[in-house]
Amino acid sequence: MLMYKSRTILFLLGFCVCQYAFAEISLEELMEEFSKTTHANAKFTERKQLTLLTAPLILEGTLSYHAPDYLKKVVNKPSPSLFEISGETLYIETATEKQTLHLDSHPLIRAFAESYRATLSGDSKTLMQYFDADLSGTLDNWTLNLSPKDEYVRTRIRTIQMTGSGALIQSAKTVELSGNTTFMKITADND
Amino acid sequence: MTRPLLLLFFWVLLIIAGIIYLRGTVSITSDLTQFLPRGATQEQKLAVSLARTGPASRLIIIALGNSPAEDLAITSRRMVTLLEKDGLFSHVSNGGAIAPDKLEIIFRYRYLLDPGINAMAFSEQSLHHEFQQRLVELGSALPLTDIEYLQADPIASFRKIITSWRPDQQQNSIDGVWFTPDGQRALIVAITKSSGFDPQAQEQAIHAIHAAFSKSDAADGTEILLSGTPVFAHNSRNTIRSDLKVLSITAGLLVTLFLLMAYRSPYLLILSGMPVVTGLLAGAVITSVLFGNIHGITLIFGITLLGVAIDYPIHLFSHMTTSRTPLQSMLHIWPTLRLGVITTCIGYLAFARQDFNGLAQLGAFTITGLLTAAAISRWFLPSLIISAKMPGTRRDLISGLKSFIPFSRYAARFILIIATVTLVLLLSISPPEWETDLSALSPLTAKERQLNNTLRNAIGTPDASQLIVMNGADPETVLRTSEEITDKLQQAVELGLITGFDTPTRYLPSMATQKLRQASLPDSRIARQMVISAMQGLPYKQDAFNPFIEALTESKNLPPLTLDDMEDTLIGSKVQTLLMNTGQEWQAIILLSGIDSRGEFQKWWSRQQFKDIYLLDLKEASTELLTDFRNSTLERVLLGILLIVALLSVGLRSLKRAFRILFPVILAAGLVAALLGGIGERLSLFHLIALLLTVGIGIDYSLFFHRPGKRDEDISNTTHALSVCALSTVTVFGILATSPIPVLHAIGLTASLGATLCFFLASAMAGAGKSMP
Repeated sequence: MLMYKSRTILFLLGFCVCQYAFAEISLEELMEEFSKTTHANAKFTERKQLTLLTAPLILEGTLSYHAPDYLKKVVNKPSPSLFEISGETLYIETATEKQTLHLDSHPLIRAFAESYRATLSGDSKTLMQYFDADLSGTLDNWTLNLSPKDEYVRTRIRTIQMTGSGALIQSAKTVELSGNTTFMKITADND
Repeated sequence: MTRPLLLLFFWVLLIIAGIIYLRGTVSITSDLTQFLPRGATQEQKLAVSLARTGPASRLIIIALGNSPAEDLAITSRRMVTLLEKDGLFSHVSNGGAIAPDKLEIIFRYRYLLDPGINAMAFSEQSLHHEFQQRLVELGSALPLTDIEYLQADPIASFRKIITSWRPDQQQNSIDGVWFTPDGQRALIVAITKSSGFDPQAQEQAIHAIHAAFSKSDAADGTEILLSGTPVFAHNSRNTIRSDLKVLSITAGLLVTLFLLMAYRSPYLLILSGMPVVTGLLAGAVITSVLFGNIHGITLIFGITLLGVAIDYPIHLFSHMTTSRTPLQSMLHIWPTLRLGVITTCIGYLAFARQDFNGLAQLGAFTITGLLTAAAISRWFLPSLIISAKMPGTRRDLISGLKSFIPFSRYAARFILIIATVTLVLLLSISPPEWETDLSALSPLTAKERQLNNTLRNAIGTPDASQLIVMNGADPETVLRTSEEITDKLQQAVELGLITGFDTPTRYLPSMATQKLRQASLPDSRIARQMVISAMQGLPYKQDAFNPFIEALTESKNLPPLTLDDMEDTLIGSKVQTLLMNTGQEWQAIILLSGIDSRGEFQKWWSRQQFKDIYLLDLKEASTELLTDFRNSTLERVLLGILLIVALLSVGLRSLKRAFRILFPVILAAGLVAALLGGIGERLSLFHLIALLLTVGIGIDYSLFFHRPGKRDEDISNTTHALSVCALSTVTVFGILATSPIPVLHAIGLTASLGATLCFFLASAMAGAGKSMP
């Protein structure tokens, strides 16, 4: 009994000492951290591994975010294109077309958009509306696993996994049911 | 049973029989185009039929407002989902994307529908180019590309088809939903399945929209506005119904009041209604027997007969004296009354022309109604007047009028001169203008029309008034014709004569064209070879496009797509607005947009020398039709007046007397037209018809004012009768004139003005001639 008690105390002590650096972080805490961010710019490299192709596609470009609901992805290589979400509106520009759409009519894009946007704005409510979220790791090194809730989206996307440190997303990996995977590596761009 | 009671009993039976007959058989139409003649030229005929059944006759614009834009957008989307499920609409859109599940059939038929499909499309080079293009798209910013579509359709035919169907104009949208440019109202377009002239089905559609709105859980205070031809038809039916009710009750009450004041006898009051009621009923029965239905306008106009037929019993009552029996009184005035009735009826005979359904109905209704009312007054009423007080001592508001009528000789002459001078002056300063806009004739208020224009512009629906129409025995024939024209029209676009056009073959090519495309598809062996060599140098896996090769084989063996296959699909309903069965034939419509110069395009069009294909400007055609119709109506009205003059001259056996009867009436009619022009009213055919009515009323007044009265009592009685007549007539029509519905307003204003002027001028004429030999 005593042994058990002292072990518990020891554990609690250790927990207290290490709390800052090693503590398991909760979704609320991470979201709190993100909600302090008002805008973010980043560079990315994306590796698309498609079952259709013999070799992966490598994309390079930039990401930008403004609180609370603006997100833009610009691809520079291999060919320029643009993807922009503001509020409920989606704007796409490729070499061949320019299109404005509403997110409601495109549940898949909605899921993608919210995985980034809700996370970046620290909006756990929206995030939980579209995904089952499973967070592990510490504030300095966390992993967020998102599984879509929407029935249609579930037939296409298996998971979206993000890793990061503090209020920075460092990578995002999407696994589709078709076997296609996309891995995006993100580096903060402070210029 | 006494004889009068027996008569009354018989009359009640007759009325009940009439009502039962009408309730069982009569159908009332409110469709203006049915009132119009069928059209002289092929273009006019098409214009009339298109106005009834064409795309514009089914289009409803829904506007949501009075809430924040985000809320409106949500309501808009919910309503579209609800309305799509409803099944009453062939097309519902708020600018949102087309849901993919509705496009299955298009995907299956993509290689038969894509205009880019020909043998060249499957060459190694062009396949290679397409494959490369897809690779670029895979490497774009979009998070996902639909890999299934990509494998089965690497040449993106499906996407090209869908993109080509998007409307040309970019509408203003908020949150992906159409809005007016000021962002105040969210807009939805709904096209009903039922054609524009099926009022019940249209009514259902409108109910469905309101039901969807209440189910869509809109934010508090959100308001919904509907516009478009079906809505107008619905509204006008309702407004006319409720307006007529209110107006006739008001008019009825006022006339009742006058009659009570004039004769102080409830019994006489009831009797005075008998000729009118019988006349209306007889008119309705005869019209429905002759024409199969009664037009709403005929009915409205027929009801105004109330203002005329009420005069007959009034004449009788006012001319009753203690020294005569009612029958003797009737016989005393009968020659004058008879001449008045017959003259008025003769005027309406001019309307009897077969190709003018509307006017002919009006004529039949009026003549039957007037003759019946007169007959009842002559052969029925006198024997029913049993215990009425003789209207000998009458001191009432009528005596006010009587105090200065008849006018003194000088006053009378002065009035006539002033009237003539005014007429000449008015006509020379601002001659009345004709109404040339067909829409102005519809029972719409100016406000409704303005709202419709605003919403239409916001939504960018093609004006649908510039179009090409062709007929044929079956869909295939008209589709082929349409394809031939399409090629030519493309040249017109390149020449800059038009900016674009919408043809049914854009959505449903003819079977011949589909077969031609099928023939150009490679068989599976060749397709496989082509695909493999086209993939050279690209990082696709060997079997990546197997679904494409299979799809080509499947497409090659598909039976061509027909209108039936597309039924109940979104695109099928789009086609149905441009390709339809008119009963005997099939008809295809090509809508033209952005005609820069009408003259230039018309010149180009006539150079093409298409046979039996019509280039229509619906606005122009309807204006032309209306002008023709109005001219013919004018012709009829003038002919009617001529007949009246002839009849009067014969009836009075003196041209001079006929002139004295007619001069004040014609002067009054002219003054009415001039005054209407002076206050900025544009004269429509309703004004003209009401003018003929006025002439009828006026002649009646004039005849009575000029009755050779020997005794003072007689003259006083006549003045009393005419004062009551004029007051009740002016009241009835004056109340009609307050209606915002153009038809009622036109008839009311014209007739009340006319009756007033006729009364005073006829009286003046009688006064002016007093001392003449």
